[in-house]
Amino acid sequence: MKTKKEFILSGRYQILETLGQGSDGTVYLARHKSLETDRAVKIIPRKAAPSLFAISEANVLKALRHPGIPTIYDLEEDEDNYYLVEEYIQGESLELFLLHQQSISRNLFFKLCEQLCDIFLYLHTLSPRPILYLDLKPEHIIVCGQQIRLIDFSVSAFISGSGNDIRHFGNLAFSAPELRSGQTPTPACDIYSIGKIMEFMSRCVDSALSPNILTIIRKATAAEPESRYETVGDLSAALLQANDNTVGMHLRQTIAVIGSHPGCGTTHIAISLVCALNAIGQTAVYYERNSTDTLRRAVRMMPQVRERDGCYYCGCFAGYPLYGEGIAIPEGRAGIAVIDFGCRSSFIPAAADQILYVCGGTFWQGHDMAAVKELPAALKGRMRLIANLCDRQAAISYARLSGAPVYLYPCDTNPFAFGPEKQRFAQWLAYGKGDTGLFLKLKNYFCRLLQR
Amino acid sequence: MGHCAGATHLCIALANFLCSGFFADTAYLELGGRREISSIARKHSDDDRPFIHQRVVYYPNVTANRLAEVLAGRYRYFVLDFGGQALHMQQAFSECSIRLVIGNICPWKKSQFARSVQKSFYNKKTKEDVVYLGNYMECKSDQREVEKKCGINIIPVPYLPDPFRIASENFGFFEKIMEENELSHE
Repeated sequence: MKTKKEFILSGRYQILETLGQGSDGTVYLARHKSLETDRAVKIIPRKAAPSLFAISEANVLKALRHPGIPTIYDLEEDEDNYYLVEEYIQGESLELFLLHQQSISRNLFFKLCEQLCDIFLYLHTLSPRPILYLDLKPEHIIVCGQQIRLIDFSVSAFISGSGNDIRHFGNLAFSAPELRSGQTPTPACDIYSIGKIMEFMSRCVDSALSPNILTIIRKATAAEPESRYETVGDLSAALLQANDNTVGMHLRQTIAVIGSHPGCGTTHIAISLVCALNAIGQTAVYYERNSTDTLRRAVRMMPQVRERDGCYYCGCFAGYPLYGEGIAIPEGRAGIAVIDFGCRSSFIPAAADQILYVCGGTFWQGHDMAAVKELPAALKGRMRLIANLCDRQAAISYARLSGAPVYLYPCDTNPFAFGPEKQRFAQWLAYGKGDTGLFLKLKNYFCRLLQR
Repeated sequence: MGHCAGATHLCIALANFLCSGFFADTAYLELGGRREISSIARKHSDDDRPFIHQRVVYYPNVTANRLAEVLAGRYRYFVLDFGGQALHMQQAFSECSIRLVIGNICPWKKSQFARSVQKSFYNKKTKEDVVYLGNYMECKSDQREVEKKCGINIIPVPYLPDPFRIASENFGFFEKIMEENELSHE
């Protein structure tokens, strides 16, 4: 008896390895002997599923031509199995992709949503017979670079004039609720699933999504089909508009700096950060949003500070002190806005892309530990702790208590000065990577703690 | 100087600049019996009670009798809007730390402004102590013409669409008119 690896399908394909196992069959990687190209071969045992499935998927796929949908090449059968030969897609499932990435940018989030909508718009508007997919889930979305491909059309079928002749199986987590109650599938079912996928991806975005996006997701995943978007086109248009509204904001990131108690170094770190970001080529501006008047007091003692149009400049630093409501300062400049909120640990800056929570101090200032522990949950997803004026042990304690990444800030006397350590800090914040020295070590320690 | 030169608009802008820019207690005094600013607080024009807007305290319709009383208040800055009535309150005007004269120097008004400056009391006596501001200027040549005719220097007033919200790009203008009279605001 031949092993699967030696098996040659129709004298043309050699099975190489198993790619995955589904409910109705197994997918193998195969090589076309003559063309020397790879294919995905889905082998569906005749006994495991009715013939309808294999033929249905083949019939659906062979009519489709879209960059997001694999091409079908062949449908073979013998006394034991059906063999569906499709385009081999190299990539990883959306689930694995997000797991490996840990976080994705807002731009990538929008790009993936747009591509998904484009595929479904194509399916739902096919002429003369639109198609419902009905089994959307992260495992059926393959990410190839920054392009997604939709696989496994075994549950999908054509929408016919007399109703949809479909036996829906789908999946519980991402399928529309009306399907579970046995109602006739409609395009609203796919819209629901798209919304669930968007919701799934939104948890991995590295910065806060605008409330508009959350509204779109809520509408798409409404329990009642008639409350959802009527068409995928409507959903896509809403996404496009939401993305347009935030393009300017994407160009401008906001980092909120909040301190746990007076004197912990909030303003010092915020000023240092601005200087460091500008020094590494970013465009950063400091905005004072607390009533300490620290910036004005500091610049009074620094003759080298220049003021122009209400903004103070000193070396790599640029920043605005707090002004009253009668003064309008420009906030539309592209780049990074570092907003110094001072010591307001209960304050949640809703629109900030990143939140730096500064804590630390001498060991007898134990209230910091309590403050870290009691941080609002809404902060934690976007928050990084900056352990200042304390030792490594305290920093580790903060990491354990907060569940957030912690950066042990080096000893620093002049916030307007720039050096290698601040460069590492700024690069880590700006690019999310790079040699962050002590931060990496702490992060690894934190991860090990979680795994215990 | 003259009607609709923009004196009230500028005074309100200056008051908000001082108050919001430096968190200084600032009062705006409306002189000359015009009774225009009460509408800011949506008050009836007969209501002369002071009101607060964006932390600036506004005193509508301050008469010569009440002026001393108001000026005794504990404010860091008093912005006195004489309107076109400085001639009738010469002493009060002369006693101000900064004296600003604003005129309309658009092409069809600049001649009238020039004549007014030449005839004014402050031109004869305290010319060097007055800062002249030119509003609605269309081109530099109009400014230079008036300067030459009157023997004065004119600072153009920038476009200030909202006197209650001063764009930081206009800080330079306000700082300049303050420096002209060497008034420190620190």
